[in-house]
Amino acid sequence: MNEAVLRIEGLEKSFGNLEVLKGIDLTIHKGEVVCIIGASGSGKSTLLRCVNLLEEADAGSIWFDGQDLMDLRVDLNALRQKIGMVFQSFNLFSNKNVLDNCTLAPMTVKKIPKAQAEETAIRHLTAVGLKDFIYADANRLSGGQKQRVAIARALCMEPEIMLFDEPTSALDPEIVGEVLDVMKELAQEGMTMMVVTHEMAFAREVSDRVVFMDQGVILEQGSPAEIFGNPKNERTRTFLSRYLEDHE
Amino acid sequence: MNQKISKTKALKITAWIVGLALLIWCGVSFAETVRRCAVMEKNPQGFVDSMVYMSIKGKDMLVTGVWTTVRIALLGTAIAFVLAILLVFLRIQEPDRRDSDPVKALKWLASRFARCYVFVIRGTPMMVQALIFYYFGFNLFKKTGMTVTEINHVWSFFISGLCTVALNSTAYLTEVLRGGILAVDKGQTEAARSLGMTNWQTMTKVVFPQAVKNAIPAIGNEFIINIKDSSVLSVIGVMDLMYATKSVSGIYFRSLEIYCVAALMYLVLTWLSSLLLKWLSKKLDMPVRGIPSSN
Repeated sequence: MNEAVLRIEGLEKSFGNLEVLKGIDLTIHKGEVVCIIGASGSGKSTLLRCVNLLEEADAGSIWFDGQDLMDLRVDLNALRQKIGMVFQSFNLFSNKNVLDNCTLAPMTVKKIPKAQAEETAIRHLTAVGLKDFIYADANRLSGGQKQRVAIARALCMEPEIMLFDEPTSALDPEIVGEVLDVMKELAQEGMTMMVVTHEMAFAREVSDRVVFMDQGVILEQGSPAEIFGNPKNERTRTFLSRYLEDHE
Repeated sequence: MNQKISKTKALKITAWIVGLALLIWCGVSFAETVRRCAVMEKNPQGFVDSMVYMSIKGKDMLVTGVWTTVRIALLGTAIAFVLAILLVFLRIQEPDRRDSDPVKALKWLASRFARCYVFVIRGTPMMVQALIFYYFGFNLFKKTGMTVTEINHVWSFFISGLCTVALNSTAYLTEVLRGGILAVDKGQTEAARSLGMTNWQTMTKVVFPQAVKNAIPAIGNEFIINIKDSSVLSVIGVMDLMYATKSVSGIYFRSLEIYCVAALMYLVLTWLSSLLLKWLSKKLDMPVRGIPSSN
């Protein structure tokens, strides 16, 4: 097993009286693709958002790059540069075109010269199949194109791990595939990925490990074959059978 | 079908002709009135005649008044916009868990200060503010040992009036900009922060440009409001359109007529401004950049 990139220990988070995460332990290794599945409200998105502190967890540790992100003294911005995030609603900067979306952070955060930042951006945009759209207004793209730009934008920071928060949930069914294909390629290139998804086929095909979350705890985790083929937990079985009924 | 089209066409043409005729008639009779009133020796009895007579006789004053009003509204709004940008940055400061204690205290103070400023300015009439600013400045300069003439030169009615409008609008524009910032989708901030951008970078590069764009119509509104509301500055003797109107009315001993002229002039000013703003916002709404074709 490769070295651990991310180690989450005893993570807890509440919104008011609602306990969303009840002590999560999870380790992600280098080059591993981990899919987190579970019903809506099981806390999987919150878990992902806690990893780069878009939500501040109440207790626990998040070890990344030899530092605990929960420590109030760490340089959060420096660590966030190395954690790419892709959102359900894309969140492209709507005051920028496609290329500027990808070069903004490298130029302002990493102080990379414009020409070099653009070169990197064009390389990543080409890889996601958007070479012809580099000067397009980000607001005018289709959902699938927007999400591919968002992936390229995150990759431009050369992250050590990529977080995907339901990246295809806001997309029309017929364009889900183009985003998943980009993610598959990324996985094949060896990117470490943590993916919250409802795309069971993707989870089964691409992930190295599947984590099933339910009501704020990790109920079960294992290889896709174990989880999809022979789930041990009753809840996992119910969830998956309901899903397979709906989708097959 | 054909008949129907020709019928509407005919109707349209008739309307145009009638309208044009009316316009020409109005123009000619107005020109006639102007020609007649220009040579009169005393204020005529007729309402319109008197309006025209006083406008012609007092035109130097009225033109100066309009020019002053426009300058105050334009400069005042522009200065207020710059100040509001600074103030809104103070206003939106929020202490964060990760800040050190002095930074937390500073942020809290900054936000409090901005809130108090907006609270006080928005809660008091501009006429009172104008008087307070004027006398405050006057007394301040007096303390330095300047003579009244010297003070009037530095702290003129115009300057203190301009300050009043600028400081007053700052409060309103701060809230306008804050609304613009709040209207920017939270996802924009999250995306920027997730890429490692600092709060400041996120604000200046992503959120604020969008917020200003959101706020452009409201900023234009503020300008139009300032055209009208600067009329209260006449209490401290700013030679604006209102003051000019009062002076003309004093000279020619007729009030209703000349105030109607003033109302018309304000109306034309605000109408022209709103046309200009409409044109400007259309222009500023960035044109759709064509998607380059693949090669």
